[in-house]
Amino acid sequence: MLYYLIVVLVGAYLILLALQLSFIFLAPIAVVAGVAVAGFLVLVEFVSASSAVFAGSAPIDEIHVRPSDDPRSRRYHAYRSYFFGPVLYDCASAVRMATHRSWDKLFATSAVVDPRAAFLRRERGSLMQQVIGLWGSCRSRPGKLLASGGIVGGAVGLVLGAAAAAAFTALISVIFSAVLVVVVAVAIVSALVLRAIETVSLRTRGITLECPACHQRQSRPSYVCAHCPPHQPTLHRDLRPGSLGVLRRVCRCGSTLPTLLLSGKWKLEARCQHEECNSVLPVKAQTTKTFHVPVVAGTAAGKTVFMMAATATMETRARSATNDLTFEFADLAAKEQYVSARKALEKASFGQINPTLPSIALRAYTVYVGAAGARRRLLYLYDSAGERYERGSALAGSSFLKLTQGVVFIVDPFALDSVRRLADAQALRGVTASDVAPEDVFSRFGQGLRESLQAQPDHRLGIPVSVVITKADALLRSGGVPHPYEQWGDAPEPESDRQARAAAARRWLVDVGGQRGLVSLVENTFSRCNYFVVSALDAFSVTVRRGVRGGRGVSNDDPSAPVRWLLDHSDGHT
Amino acid sequence: MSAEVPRPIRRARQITGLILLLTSTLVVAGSIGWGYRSTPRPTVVGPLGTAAPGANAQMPGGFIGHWRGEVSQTGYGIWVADIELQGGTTNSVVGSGTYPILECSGTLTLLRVEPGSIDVMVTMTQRGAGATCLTRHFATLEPARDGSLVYRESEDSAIDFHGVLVRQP
Repeated sequence: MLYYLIVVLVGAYLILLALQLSFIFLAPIAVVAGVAVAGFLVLVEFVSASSAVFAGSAPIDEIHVRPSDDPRSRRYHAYRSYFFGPVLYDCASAVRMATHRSWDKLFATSAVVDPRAAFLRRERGSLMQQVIGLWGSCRSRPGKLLASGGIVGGAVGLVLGAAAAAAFTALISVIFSAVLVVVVAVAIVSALVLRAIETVSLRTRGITLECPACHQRQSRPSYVCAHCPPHQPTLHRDLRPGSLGVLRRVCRCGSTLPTLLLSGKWKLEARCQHEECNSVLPVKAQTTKTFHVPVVAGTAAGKTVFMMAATATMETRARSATNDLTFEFADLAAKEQYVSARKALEKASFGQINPTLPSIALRAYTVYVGAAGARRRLLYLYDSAGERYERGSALAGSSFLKLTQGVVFIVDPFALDSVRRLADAQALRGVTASDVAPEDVFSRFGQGLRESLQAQPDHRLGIPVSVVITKADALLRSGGVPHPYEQWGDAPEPESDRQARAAAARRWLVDVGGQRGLVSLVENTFSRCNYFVVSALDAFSVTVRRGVRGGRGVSNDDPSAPVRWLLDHSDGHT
Repeated sequence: MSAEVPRPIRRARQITGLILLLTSTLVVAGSIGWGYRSTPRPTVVGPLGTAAPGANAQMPGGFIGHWRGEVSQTGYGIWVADIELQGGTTNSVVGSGTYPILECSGTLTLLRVEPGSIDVMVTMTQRGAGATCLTRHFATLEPARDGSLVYRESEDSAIDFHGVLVRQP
């Protein structure tokens, strides 16, 4: 009996000794090791998940930035701005990934497949499973007793280490999320402010843009991505700071486009925002004010020749190095038309210049002119076919009239009966004369313009008009008709004395052309009028010419003078 | 649609990664700084009695009172310490001490306050004819669990002594 009692006591003593050894010595070491391992692992997973997401190449399907597949969606053509919200998805994704990975490695109860062991597909348990599994791997009871402290300590250490590291990473995540929320807020506010600044800037500077084809004002022109393949062009219909990008947006082709004129949006090809039109807009659109000038005359009066001669003069003046004038084609079609006409102007074979046909839709002829800087203008010249002015109803649909800021009214002297009566038959054969009375044309145009501008019939229009007597070279060849400036001769009246020249041209129209009615009509319709005498022979330089009537030579007005006068005397309203 | 991530979005993500790195760095640096600042720092007085910047600790109230007991000094023997402590701040006189066996008495200046103890400098102002005491010595006073006060040499002291003082009515 005593023997058994001694054995039991000794056994109990040994068990207590083993437990004491295990819990006093092994457990604290295991706790420290568990804390260190779990903390390190959680931090490593946090860094690893963050790197995977923010290194840049993580899949983007979950952050909803891809362009929409719905062509009606605003997000069809471009990626959503990363800083307009998707960054928060990424942040949540990194935290979720770190949490899952850490949990799997530390506490998961199911077996975890190590994705890095590609060939072995080695299955391993979580650290907690492995620690608890040590109990089973100890075969002997004394071993289990000795290991118990280490196992419990290790498990406690893992929990404590994971909790501490999780708290630390949670703190970083919360602060980081707060920073990102501020970033998103700043992006949204910046987009709104920049959008407003651009709109206000255009308004205060009086800059507008109108489609040369459909003549509708463009509040937000569309822009073509310069990098998309030509067979799959991408048209950005609202290229402004917003949810698709603050300073730049990413086209669905992956290239970036500026969203502000200031950052280079004006360099992109602009298109009419109206889907049914979609015409190419002038290059460098919205960089300067526009100026719209209908060139009005009957058929064969010389509108197109005048326009080309005026263009040639403006180009020649701008190319000379003595001034700061600028000249630039705003439209490829305008340039091509001019290049073709220039050869005819050089050879003085004006019949080769193609007239505007009434069957073709009117597209404004656009060029940049004027002094460099704020006085530069995008000039729209509307060379509408003369036939349109022969019937009042044809003008009803001319939407460009409501944009009118100045008018060039062409008077073909050989369309006037009194001139035809005075002119030599040979001279008459040498010109292609308009067979429409200018007064009729002007009357219809004036009426159409008043209707378009919704002006009162008893009020004169506040826009300037240049009345231009063309084919002045033919007047010199016609012995019976005096040239308007004949009285001054060669040296005489400097071009700068505009008032005297205008008075002479006006007097000629009344006295020689018998157009008192036309002059009255013009002056009763417009508050500011001026009169010019031009010849397309002066397209490149104005030279003194002698007429068959003898006497001294005559110098016509510069062909661009009527347009330049309009530019100088417009108050810019439409 | 291609799974490729457009370069601008990759770059935006990398910028975000840098923001995360910066945030983490600031949090770590902030934690270290906060930990450093929140660690209790002893109020240190220079060797000449000049207070360190910001040192203005009050003497804990538990020390205030009249204390008396025997002190054993290595290489010398036993002497009696009878001290009277009042309130005060570091670098000021916080009490007086009488040492009958040594035939000396003087003032106690509070040098530093640490959790659970105070350091004082004892400066003898009166010495008897047969006095054997040093002009001054440095002592650490710390309360014991039984309500007494341990009176022992401090780190700055040149002599070794240890005693237990009992609160006097």
